[in-house]
Amino acid sequence: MSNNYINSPASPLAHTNLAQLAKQHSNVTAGINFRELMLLGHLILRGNANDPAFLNGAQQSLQLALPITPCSSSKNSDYLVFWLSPNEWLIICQQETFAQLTAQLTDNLVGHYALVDVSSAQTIIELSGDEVINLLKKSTSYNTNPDHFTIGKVVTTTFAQTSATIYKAESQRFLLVTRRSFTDYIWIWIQQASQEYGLKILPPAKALE
Amino acid sequence: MQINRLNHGGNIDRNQVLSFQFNGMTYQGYQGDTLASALLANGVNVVGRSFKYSRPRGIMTADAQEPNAIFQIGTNASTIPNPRATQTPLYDNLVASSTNGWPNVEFDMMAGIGKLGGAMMPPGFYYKTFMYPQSMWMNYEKLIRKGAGLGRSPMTADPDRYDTMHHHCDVMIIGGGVAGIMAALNAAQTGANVIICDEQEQLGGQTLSSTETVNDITATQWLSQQIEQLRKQENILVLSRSTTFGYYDHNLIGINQRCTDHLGEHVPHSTRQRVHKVRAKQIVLATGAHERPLVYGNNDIPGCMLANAISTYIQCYAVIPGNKLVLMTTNDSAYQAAIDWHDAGRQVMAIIDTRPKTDSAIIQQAQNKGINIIFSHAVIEVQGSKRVNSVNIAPINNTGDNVIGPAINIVCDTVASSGGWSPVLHLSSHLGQKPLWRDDIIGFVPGQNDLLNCGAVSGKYALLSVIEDGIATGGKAAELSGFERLTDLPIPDIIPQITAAPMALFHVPHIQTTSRAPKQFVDYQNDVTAAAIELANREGFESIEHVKRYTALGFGTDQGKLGNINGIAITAKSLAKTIPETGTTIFRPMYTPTTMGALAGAHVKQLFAPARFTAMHQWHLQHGAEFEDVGQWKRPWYFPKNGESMQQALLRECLATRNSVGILDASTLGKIDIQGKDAREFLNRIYTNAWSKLGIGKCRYGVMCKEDGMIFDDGVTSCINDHHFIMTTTTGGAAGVLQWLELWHQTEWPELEVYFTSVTDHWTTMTISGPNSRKVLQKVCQDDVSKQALPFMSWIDATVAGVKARIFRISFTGELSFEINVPANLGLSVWQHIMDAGAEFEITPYGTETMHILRAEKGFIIVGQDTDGSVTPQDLDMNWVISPNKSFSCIGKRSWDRIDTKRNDRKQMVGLKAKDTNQVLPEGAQIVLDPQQKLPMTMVGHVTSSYFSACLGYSFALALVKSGTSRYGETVYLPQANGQIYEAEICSPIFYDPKGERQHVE
Repeated sequence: MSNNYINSPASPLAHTNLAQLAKQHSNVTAGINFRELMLLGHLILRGNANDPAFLNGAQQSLQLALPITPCSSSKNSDYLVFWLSPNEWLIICQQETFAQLTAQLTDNLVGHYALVDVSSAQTIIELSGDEVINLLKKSTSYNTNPDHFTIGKVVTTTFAQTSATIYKAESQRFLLVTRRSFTDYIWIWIQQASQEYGLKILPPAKALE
Repeated sequence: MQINRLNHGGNIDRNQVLSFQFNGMTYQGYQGDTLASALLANGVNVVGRSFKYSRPRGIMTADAQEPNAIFQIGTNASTIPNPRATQTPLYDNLVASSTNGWPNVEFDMMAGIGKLGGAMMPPGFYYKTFMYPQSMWMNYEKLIRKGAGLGRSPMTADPDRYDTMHHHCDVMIIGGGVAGIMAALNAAQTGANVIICDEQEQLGGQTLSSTETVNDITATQWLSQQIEQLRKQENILVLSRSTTFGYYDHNLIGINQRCTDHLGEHVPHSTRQRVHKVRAKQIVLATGAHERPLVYGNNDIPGCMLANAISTYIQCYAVIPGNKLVLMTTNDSAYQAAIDWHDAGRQVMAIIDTRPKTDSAIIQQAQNKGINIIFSHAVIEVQGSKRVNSVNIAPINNTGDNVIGPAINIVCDTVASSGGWSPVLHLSSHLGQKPLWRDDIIGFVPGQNDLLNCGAVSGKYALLSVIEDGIATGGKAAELSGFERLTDLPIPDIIPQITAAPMALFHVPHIQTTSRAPKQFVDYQNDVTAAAIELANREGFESIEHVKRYTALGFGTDQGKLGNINGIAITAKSLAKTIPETGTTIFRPMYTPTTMGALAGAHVKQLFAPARFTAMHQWHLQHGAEFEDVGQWKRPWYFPKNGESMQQALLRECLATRNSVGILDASTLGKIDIQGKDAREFLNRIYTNAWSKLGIGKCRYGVMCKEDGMIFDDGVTSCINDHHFIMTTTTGGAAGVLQWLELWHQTEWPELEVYFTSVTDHWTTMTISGPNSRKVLQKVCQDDVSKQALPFMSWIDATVAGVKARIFRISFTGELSFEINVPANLGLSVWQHIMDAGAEFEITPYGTETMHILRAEKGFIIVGQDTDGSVTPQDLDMNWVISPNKSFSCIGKRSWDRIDTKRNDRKQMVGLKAKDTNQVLPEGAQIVLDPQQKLPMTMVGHVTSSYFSACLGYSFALALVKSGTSRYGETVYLPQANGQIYEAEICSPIFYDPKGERQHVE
């Protein structure tokens, strides 16, 4: 029996060969740029936002305060943290720092909390470009007006006929956290909805920036 | 030859000649024409035949009201039924045909039938004539439908794209006439986000054909300046060619934008129509008013038109639709049509003003041009067949009830009429508001004050008052949506005109009674006459809603535009009521017909519904899987090899699994991560069995019931540690179960410390099953997976093919079975390693169908197939899954003590063996005890699952049968629709390995 298995992790969009498409698109300019931020660490943190000990434990582990205002986010060079619900956060990091993060949280958190690895359950689609708001308007009924959907805001809402967690990184750059099994549907949807604006595939990245 | 085209004027481009086809003939028009203006320019009189009487009809209006020029536009797959030609922009090579009047409108084969039938077609005709014999109704219906026309749907797939866009704005303005434009500009200058939509080709509404002077320039020049300003303003989104089709609760409106319909029949790579869903803080209706025709004898002969439509065709399209005009009016505004006609150089025979002699600026103007004005008269009847050739006019009394002198004849080819204006309040009615009658403007206005509206829809018609109202209402809307209203836009200089009061006249009297007079049409589209309405009233239909249904007044795509107010007025008069007492019918969405394509949007073909895929989907595709939809998932159904039939594939997959090893992609099962110190207690309450003592590393099967005691989901839950469990659910039930857990936690038991997180997508699950499954596993896993280390119903952390995994020894096949869970990013990779390792044992991938057969052989239920929400655990003989002595009750427990759930003649789960061992009993077949019984037979149960078993060598089924558990050995019968009766014997539902030796194997 051999222990030398070669295992190559595959994102839910592996079959679409984004890297190859990106090569073909290298000279294209388009209203929408599409990039998968793939194979990152995704950790769900559950806990009581009214418990100072919990918040302290999280802050020590992340070197970052948990966002406790609804639909807000926080970030530093290692972590991007999304408020998902009053007792639920999504922490995104490089896969390499994931084990360390989990260990630190386990060490620092006390009482009733939960950590759940969902790294394989979802991926991130970065959408940017001049027409990105129009693409969102075609895809979600959520209010995307700049005075309402402000930079740093994160909402989990409808996207076409499924859902996505949508984070506004810059005025014309958004991150969509999509569920693995629905990602192919969303990929087809985005291709279809961006036809009139032009779609440029960028090389997939394994980092947040 | 465009015989009716003027040499000058109009918003058309004479350099761009467009060819088009109508009813097989080729014509030419110009860029900027509508199909209607181009047809009129070419002198086309007859554009359709009427619905019931098959009378020739011509173009009457220039707007959404058009009742006759309703066409089939386009060819084949991209054809659209029922657009109004008045709202259809002309493009090169447009193809249109009448929806009514087969085979052609000039010579209508139906006309003979129509004329004869018409006499036999009183209101209520369907109810009276075609009721008996009932068996003939289907034939009558075909005949009626063929005769009635009104468009056809394309029979082939639509080549066009449609989509939807969502907007949120501060102020939404519906209607791009001058009221809407001024409201938009004034709202936008406060900083509010504004959307304005207009259904016509051009913004501007009625002002486009105005001849007034504003700020010392012509009204149209001034209007152009305002429109330019509108388009420049960054916080205003202008949607033209965009019809608001519905106004819904919570300030949501639906708009259909025709993006490319003006460019051609099919414009590749573009969105043909787009639905905009707008959620606005404030909505302003600036929908304007429609001119109301008068109801007089033979008022449907081609050449009878609305006065305002004539002005529009002359001013906007440089088309004059005739040579000799007679204008009948109750008001000042219609005089403009005669003046425009006269100025275009054609003959105005007379203006017939129904009012006693009066005076105003515009009357003066007409007189100064030498136009003959006859007061206190009316056009009582028109002569002609395919075109007007003369009219009879007669003096009428001051109230317009009676003809008071002999008629005289005037030769003409065009009759324009105006009975005043009806505010377009349809959208206000969509929310259920009752319109309010105003005597001063002789029309209904939107009923309640909390709805913002401005301009003609609120009964203001003079240009100056429309502009003032638009500015004020736009400012108010911005203010109400939270913006500071400082200084309103200035009011332009307009010299007010001296006007004379209009007369309230709807139905023009005739020398003869209504029933004897020539037909006086009220609703052209549905062929409803004044006589028909009076007849309906006489027959006892007094409520306007009943009159509508009895006569078809305002039905269908018309939605009461042209004829409604006149119909109400006629009803009021014949019942001696006032118009407000009579009231209006309800207007409903759609305002004008909206294509199915637009409503479906982009949710078609592969985007019709989301499809969910597992990490191994590519592998399944490469290995020829047929797929089955399970919830939204695409699951492999079976894997046919070398041209096998489904049955052959299933036999092979089943035997391979029972005899060696099979592999199933079970990733779609719902998986819920449960953490917290109260997790056990929570499981105790949700599941029917006990969880307090489930050891770490152990797994247990459980069923969940709703409060009514009926099973709604099942699955295996495993103990990771004392505070951590992982629950599996059915594939289709996953989301519902998570919601169920959250519901009980958040509303009933918030004191329990427990968190639920879905991990369905995180874990890829592959089940290897069969006597050789352990050998395969051992090839890819160095951890101890022996019976001692990993007994049945337990799990371990292990490394499988180099990947950290959880291996669960649970079985849905009854065989030795391992469920291997790895993170989905590595799922495909591990699956391939297992397939490689299993090659020497001929590891066989199987799909959902083989899974169903193997589990049914063991009598394992599938919730949702063998249960239907009316089945208790006791009905399934599953008392072992109920723990009666839990300290806290579980959901559903109390309901098992109801008299109904304690009955011993409830349907209970049993097995069935068909007497003919090769006969697979149909799923859903009803079961009876006495096959000789006369219909209706006493049905005692039904088949829930049924298969042929390769291992058993015979067909078998699971069924729910009344008192089934006490009927083992009895013969039952399954009568079929074709008269055949299958026989079967009731038996235990466990067919294979009843003692469970195989799944517990060493």
